[in-house]
Amino acid sequence: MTTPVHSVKGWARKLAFPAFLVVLIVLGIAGSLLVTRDPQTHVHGWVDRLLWQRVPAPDFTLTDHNGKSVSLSQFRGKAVLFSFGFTHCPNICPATLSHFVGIREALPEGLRDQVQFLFISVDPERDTPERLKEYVPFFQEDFLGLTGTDAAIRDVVYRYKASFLHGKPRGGDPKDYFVDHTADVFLVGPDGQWELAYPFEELPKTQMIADDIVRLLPEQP
Amino acid sequence: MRSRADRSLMAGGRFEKTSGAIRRADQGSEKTAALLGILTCSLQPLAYCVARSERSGSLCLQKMKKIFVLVTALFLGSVFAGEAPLQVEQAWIMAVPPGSEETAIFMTLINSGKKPVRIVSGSLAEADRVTPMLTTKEAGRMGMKDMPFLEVAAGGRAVLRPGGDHLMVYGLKKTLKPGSEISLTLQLQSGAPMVLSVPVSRSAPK
Repeated sequence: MTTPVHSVKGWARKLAFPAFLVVLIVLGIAGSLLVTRDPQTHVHGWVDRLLWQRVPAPDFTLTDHNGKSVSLSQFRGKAVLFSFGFTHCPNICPATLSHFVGIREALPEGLRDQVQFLFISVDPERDTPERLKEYVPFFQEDFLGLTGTDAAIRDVVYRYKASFLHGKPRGGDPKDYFVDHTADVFLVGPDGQWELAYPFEELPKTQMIADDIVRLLPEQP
Repeated sequence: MRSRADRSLMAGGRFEKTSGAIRRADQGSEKTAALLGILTCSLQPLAYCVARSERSGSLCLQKMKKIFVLVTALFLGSVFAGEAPLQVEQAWIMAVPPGSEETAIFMTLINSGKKPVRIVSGSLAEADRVTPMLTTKEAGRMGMKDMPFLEVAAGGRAVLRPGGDHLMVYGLKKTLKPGSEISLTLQLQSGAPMVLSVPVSRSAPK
């Protein structure tokens, strides 16, 4: 009776410490893997941009998703972040708008109403104000979808050095076509200066873009 | 680094290919890591039981030893025996607003086999059809191009992510609710179709 218990005890003592060591080593390896996979670095300055000089943002007047006429200059005092797109876009446009949501959430709560997000349609034929109203607020209620006449849209696109191209109708349906378009995102400061254009690829850096925007806003008391 | 990969993906329209050697090294370290993980998980109760057995006898220890052996055997079996040629990780389908008939499915495809694998199409009950789609960038404009198939190189991986290549969903019949799941069937050029459960999400799951 005593002997087996005794031998288990001895075995236990021998095994417990190596087992403990193995656990420590494994935790160490796991920890170092985590650290090397997610390096904490801090970047100073602005996110990659296409503009090197701030210029007055070309004004435009379009129709918002409530059917109201809206001009960029109306948002003076707020920072404006906008992109071009179309609602039949399955990939780039929803991705952009969900990055907008991320950027908005990365802003300090008290500053969120000082930033206006706009989505300008380059497909006014299919993107009526009604369609935009269905689409844009789905991502965030105070995002605004804009559309207009072909000429008005072309004018905005030209002024912001962007471009778009309507593809050929697919499979015989004249309403079924893709639109290739500039996916960069434009940032206009509260003083109406066009500050930056972010390449689409940089949009996942939502916190850094939010920091850029905060830097443009007037200092908080 | 990630964005550079994205750009090359878009410019070339090809999927990332990792050389066989690198992939094997990757896979080796993944396996080792997982093995160590399992060992830890099973060693801990073992050590605990060994310590406890001073009081309660060796019954617990014997049980734990059995469990340990079983878990290890199961794990080794799954790692080294039954490797599926194509693995899918982090698949998700983008939730789009009501009235939208198009959306996209994203995932990481890993081909651990010795031959390239081609996905020719997909299907889900909630939509008309699913086809591989290339994201293009031309003269600063981003656009899309239908592809007859999506190839994952032997020992390579294809990363489908927002803003890049994807599986395009046409003719969505109902609004997909974030948090729900759809059942996606992938048709491969050769071999049995793959059935995946794909969560609906507004953005890439973290």
